[in-house]
Amino acid sequence: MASQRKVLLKVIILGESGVGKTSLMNQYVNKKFSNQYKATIGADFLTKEVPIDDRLVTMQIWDTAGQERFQSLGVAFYRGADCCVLVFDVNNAKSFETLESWRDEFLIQASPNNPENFPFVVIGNKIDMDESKRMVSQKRAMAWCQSKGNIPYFETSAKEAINVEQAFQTIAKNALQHEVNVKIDFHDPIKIDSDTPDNNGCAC
Amino acid sequence: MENDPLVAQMEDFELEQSALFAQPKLLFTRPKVYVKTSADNKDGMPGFISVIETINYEHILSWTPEASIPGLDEDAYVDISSQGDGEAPPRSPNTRRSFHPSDYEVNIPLQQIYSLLVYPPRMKDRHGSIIVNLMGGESLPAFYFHDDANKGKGPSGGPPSWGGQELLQHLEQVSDIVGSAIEPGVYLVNATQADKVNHGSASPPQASISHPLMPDAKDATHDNESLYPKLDVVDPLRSETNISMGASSPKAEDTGVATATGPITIEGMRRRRSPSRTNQESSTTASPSAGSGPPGPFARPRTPLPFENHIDPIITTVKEMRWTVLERFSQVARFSRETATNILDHPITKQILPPHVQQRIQESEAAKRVMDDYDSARVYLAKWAAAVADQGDRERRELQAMDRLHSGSFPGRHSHASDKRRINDHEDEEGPLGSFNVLDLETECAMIHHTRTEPLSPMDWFAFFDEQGRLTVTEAKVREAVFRGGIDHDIRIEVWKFFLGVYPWNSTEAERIVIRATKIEEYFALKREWFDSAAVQETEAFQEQKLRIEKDVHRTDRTISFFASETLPNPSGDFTGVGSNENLELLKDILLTYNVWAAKEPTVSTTIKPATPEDSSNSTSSSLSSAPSKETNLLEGYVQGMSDLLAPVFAVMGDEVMGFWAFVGLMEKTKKNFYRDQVGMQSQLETLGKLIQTLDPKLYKHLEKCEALNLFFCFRWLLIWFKREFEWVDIMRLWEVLFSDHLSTQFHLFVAMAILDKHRDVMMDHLQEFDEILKYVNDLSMTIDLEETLQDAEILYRRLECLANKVDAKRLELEQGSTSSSGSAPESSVAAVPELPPALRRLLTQKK
Repeated sequence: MASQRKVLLKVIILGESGVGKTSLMNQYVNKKFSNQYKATIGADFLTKEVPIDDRLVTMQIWDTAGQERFQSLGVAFYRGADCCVLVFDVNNAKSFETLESWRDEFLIQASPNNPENFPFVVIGNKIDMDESKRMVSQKRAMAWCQSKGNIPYFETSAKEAINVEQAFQTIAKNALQHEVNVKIDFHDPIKIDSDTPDNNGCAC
Repeated sequence: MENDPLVAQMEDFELEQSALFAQPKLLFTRPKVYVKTSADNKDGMPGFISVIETINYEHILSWTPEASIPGLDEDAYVDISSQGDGEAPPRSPNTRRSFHPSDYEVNIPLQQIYSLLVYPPRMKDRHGSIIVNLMGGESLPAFYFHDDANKGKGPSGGPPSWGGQELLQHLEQVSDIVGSAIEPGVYLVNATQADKVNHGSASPPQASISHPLMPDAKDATHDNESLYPKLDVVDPLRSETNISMGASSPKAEDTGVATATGPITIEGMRRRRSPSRTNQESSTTASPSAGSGPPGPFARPRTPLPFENHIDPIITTVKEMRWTVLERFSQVARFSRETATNILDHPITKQILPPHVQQRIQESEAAKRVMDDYDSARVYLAKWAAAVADQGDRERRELQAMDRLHSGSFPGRHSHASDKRRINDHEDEEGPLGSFNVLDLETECAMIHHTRTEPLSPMDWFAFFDEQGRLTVTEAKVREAVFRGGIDHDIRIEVWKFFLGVYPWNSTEAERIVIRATKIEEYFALKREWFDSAAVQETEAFQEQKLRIEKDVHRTDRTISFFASETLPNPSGDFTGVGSNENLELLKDILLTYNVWAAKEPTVSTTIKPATPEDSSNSTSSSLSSAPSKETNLLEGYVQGMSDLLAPVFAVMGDEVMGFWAFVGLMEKTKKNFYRDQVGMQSQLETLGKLIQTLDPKLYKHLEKCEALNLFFCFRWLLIWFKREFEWVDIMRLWEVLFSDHLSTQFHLFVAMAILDKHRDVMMDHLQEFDEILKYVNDLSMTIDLEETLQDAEILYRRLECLANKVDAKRLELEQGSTSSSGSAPESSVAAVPELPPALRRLLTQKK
């Protein structure tokens, strides 16, 4: 690690309204949950310092409004993102079905240099609810993730703090990997990719 | 160490600081100062005690709970004041708090402090403490200094120091601190002469301020538990300086009583001035002559006085600077030694620290352990600066209000905290209106008053009507009254119906009874369309809308008692574990019915005026799609934010039907915000951008530099009319002012401008990126003073109006000149007069 430079990783959380984006962010950063977070209007972010391997990085986690009507704001918020987290509610099929459009929209608006390799992570949230309410099976979600270039998939409960830490660890790692790759691409285009991204699929 | 040239440098630096940066300064701060919040918690709440200098050189004693400092990671926090080993003192175990820590925050101007009761730490008594007694006779809770880590680390081998002593020494530098001879441990702050006499202060035996403050000092014999000293036993004398400053302070009156108990001695009459400011000094240092007096209230603070030159300026400076900068960072930056980066690389440090101090710090061990932190530090510093500036600002307003009362004159000249600063700014910055911006705004347009007053009372309101219940005054008069003061809550339920289009202004009571009946029928007819139709309810579109609405309703204003209870099971079942109540259910019904109503509206015409060429030439770099089209301007169902708009309206109306119709009226004013193409939002953000550009070109430039000209950080403000920025009661007040359409139908843009204006210095000094501005602005939520904002908004409106008039007058003058003197003033000179952007012209009209 030659660089002593502080690393800032920008992470964008996207997904339908009410799937728990704000809750996930707050659970991860503040270790708190409330079922009365107001609907996010516009965007906001929280930062958290995370040790990854032997370095300390700062994650800047952006929470966005879930209604697609406000997607046009995205271009201002998505720029410079290092990882995009797509969240759906496992009890709401529609929120899963719209992941594809969230992903596409993100790629259009953020226009990363290397869209095929841009790191996404998918989170199926609200697994604390009764199994009978479940509308999207793990299998179905993982199949979609695999079809999109092996996106890591996590099932979480922001309410019960289940798997949230693990999901964000992967988010941080993949974001850092992206950051580093971008730097390498930029400064030294000859260097070949040394590490493969950590795409190990479901960690639950 | 006498006359160290560094002292001179420091003085220069200070002058430079204040002249160039003109921002509040943190003179001193110390962590781990505890306040006991209840009898049973052992240590109480930790916080930071600080002395702050405002831009007006007023001084504030401040205590900030650690818990209210965002981003302070308690575990990783390392106390840099412990210098050597970096061993952080144990933290108090209490973490569960049922109150909000910021409730305990203290910000007291020094002139409101009467005295300090000081209990130095003693052998058996772990922590020294200080109790602050205020002018009014009240006392603040005791501050306990848990800074054990510093014990035995006094500089130059001097006696160990404790935080309270350091605090006093810093206070002494900015105010007159005199120990009482009668009440050991009592220190009078800026005491009147009479107070001093009564306290027999100034007697030579107590000539040293530091001595009695030493741990285990003999005279600190407050073995009793009387935490509140008998302050009426007072009295003292004031130095020549203070006499000349006007001895007629309010305190002089008290002393009539007080002198009776205070012995007046010759010694007591002698001025007491402690020469001893740091630990390395002994109490035997000769007293200075009375003539060399302490700094009076108007003396420049922190400028070392001649007799203070023996203090090692480096130690003082580094100490102060360390606290000023490093300590602040320590709170935000979550220190951890492993990842140290040199603080001196940080841009803020470079701004603040003079080079020789930077060098000094570079050599220090403590500083090497300090690392910088990125954006959050800046956002934090910005907030801090804003809080301090706000304090000063508020006091100034209060003073002005008092002045007005005394002089009997009607609302006085409002002065912006940043007025002076802005004038300077304009010297090198011309706005789109060229010299108009510079001269007229700041001179001729400067004497503008706000007209805010009391809310419209029920008496006033009923007096507006005749026996038939018809308005006898003009609609404009009612609008103006509501604009200026808002509405008494008791009559909101009625008055809002006029403003929201439920009742026509010229209706009689009899007509209104009919209207109510009709509205009830109409509403239920609309509601039945979905409520009674299984076919409608089964459609996917309806289900989707219903789900959307339910999700938002269940998280709308649940802290307001009207919506708080969970007396009903949640019928939707989607929110397991979240109950509902009647009012929440009605919110859902109203929103679903509004969908029906909105769908019946004729195709909404594009009410946004197409941008004129001039409009678009300067347009803010918004990414929102333009090209308004009739098709896409429809609401197309519920949009997030609508539940925020409905909740207060429904709560004020108190019933479903009137709640619905009042909401319809509000949506008429705001629905463009929710159109699919977002053109309504885009147009407002652009207009706001022009407003900034015209009224504050320097701020505009700064936003441009930060790539923040899209003003997306104001998006939430405009979308739901500041609903998330103000407390519930304030929202009702703000909205009725906006309903009034008195000065402008777009008055909310002036409200936005007023909030930005209030924070413009802080934003320009501390925030350098879009992220930072967004975070800072988002975090203003629930901290904004509504009355002040409305005053400023009105003044900003008048400024724009004044500017427009100037421009018009100039044009007219030139045009007339050219016709009368036959061509001596060519057409071109008229053309050279800058024109106000049309979007801003429109703000100045009441037309929609």
